[in-house]
Amino acid sequence: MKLLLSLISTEMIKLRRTLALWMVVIAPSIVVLLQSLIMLNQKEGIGYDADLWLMYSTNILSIWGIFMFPMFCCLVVALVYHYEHVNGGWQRIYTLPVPEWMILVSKQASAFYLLVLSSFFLFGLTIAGGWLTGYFHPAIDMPDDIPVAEMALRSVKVLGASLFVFAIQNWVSYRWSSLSVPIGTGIAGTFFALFATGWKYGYLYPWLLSLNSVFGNDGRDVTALIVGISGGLFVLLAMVVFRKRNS
Amino acid sequence: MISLERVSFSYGKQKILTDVSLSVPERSIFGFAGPNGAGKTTTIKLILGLITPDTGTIRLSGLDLAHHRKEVLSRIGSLVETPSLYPHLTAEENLEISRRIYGTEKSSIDRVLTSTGILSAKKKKVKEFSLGMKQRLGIALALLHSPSILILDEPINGLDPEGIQEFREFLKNLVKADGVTILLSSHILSELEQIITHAGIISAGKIRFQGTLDELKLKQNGKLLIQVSDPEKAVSILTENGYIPEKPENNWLSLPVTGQQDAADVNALLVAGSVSVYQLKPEQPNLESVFFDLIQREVTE
Repeated sequence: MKLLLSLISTEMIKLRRTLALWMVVIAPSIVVLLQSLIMLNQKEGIGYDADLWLMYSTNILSIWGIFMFPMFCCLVVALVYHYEHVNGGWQRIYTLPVPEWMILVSKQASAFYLLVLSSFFLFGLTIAGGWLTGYFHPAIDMPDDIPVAEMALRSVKVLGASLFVFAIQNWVSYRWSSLSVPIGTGIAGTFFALFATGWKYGYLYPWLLSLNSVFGNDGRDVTALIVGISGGLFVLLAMVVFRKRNS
Repeated sequence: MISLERVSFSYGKQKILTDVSLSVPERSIFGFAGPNGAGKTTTIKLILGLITPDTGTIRLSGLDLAHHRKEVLSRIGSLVETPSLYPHLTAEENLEISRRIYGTEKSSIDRVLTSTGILSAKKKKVKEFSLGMKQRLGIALALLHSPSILILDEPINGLDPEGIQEFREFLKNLVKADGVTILLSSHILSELEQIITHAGIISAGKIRFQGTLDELKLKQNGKLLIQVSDPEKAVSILTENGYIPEKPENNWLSLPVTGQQDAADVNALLVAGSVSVYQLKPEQPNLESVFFDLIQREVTE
């Protein structure tokens, strides 16, 4: 365990001064800023009786889940592996006296850590953004009682259900040395999600799982969450068991 | 210290190494030479466990690599082809990554940066390094955990003449002071010759020679350089008498010989044929010529 933690800490060193690390802050900030601007633009306020905090955070989670998170995830994961592909890093790493499986697990863990970190930022920025929106918009009065537990649960669900997409991006980023393959996968996956929504089983499409884990009806939310977590864990485990890369 | 027993390796249907047996003695500097594509880097990758052999056994310090990978790798420092460095990180950060995994003291970073002569560049990003400095940092990485075996694939690449000289002394000192065993591959054979105590030559995936440097030199007969008044006549006389002189350049002939008596016989023949002999010089074989001779022999056979 100590060795695994050391390996994860070395992954953190590798991420210093990289775009991946900046994106942890930039990606959630863009989403919160976008949603805040939309609300600030509504001159008459919301115009109907709604739980403002849940509405505000739902909109943020929707943009995050369907668009920003998959793109952020594909970029961050691709960069975590890319540094090894371009610098002959695999060769050096695999001559270190550590079990080979541990090397991959440390990569997966460090990439996931960045996603968790960005989710935390999103959560914090949602509260800060909501409060500022209410402060600056005369017609929008954000309640003092923030439904923190409900908002946190939704964030955790989105993160959990995203595990499948995260795992796919991990496998692609590890398997192919070219950065264009994982980035292309992320763009294509996000793009086809638009079409998958109309399909009967579209809610099981990996890039739609995070959204459906929160907003799915008739038990689809639970199914999406289970598929997201179990599918993700399966792919991550298979990646470690059947290690094969092209670099 | 390092031993390969009947190791074979293929990429798909292409046979890269065939029954390679190699023995690198303890505290030696073993030069591993061969033409491009001969199997040098593949052999080194096998020793480092980066690839696994189809057949055969690899042992380091008596431990079977297949069953004691972690223990074996903890004793090896390596630099294969170009150094694997993270250009956006400083030299110190690059070393810190390995230090955390090996669990060595913090001070080991300054120690290896000092011994490779780049301590002043400790806080500098690697992307600002010259090729030679990157090579030094690669060697520093290989030495960080004070390994007992050092495996260096083409380590002289990118070093300037002064750097090469320092590097030679540095390696010799490592063996002398720390008892490190070094396996060194390089295509700059004249540089190997000045460092190594033992040599191995590989060609087309087979070991053609292994032994001490002196044993290797004994593999090739010397040459006699002769300066004469009439080179064409001299070639004709020597050819008639069963010698095989090489094409003359200016007034100089080069002639493969087997011993001292040949020099006297050649001189007598030329003088008898009215060719004036100005100079007779024996040419000592160097590693480069021995190497090419060995490879050439394999091709001819």
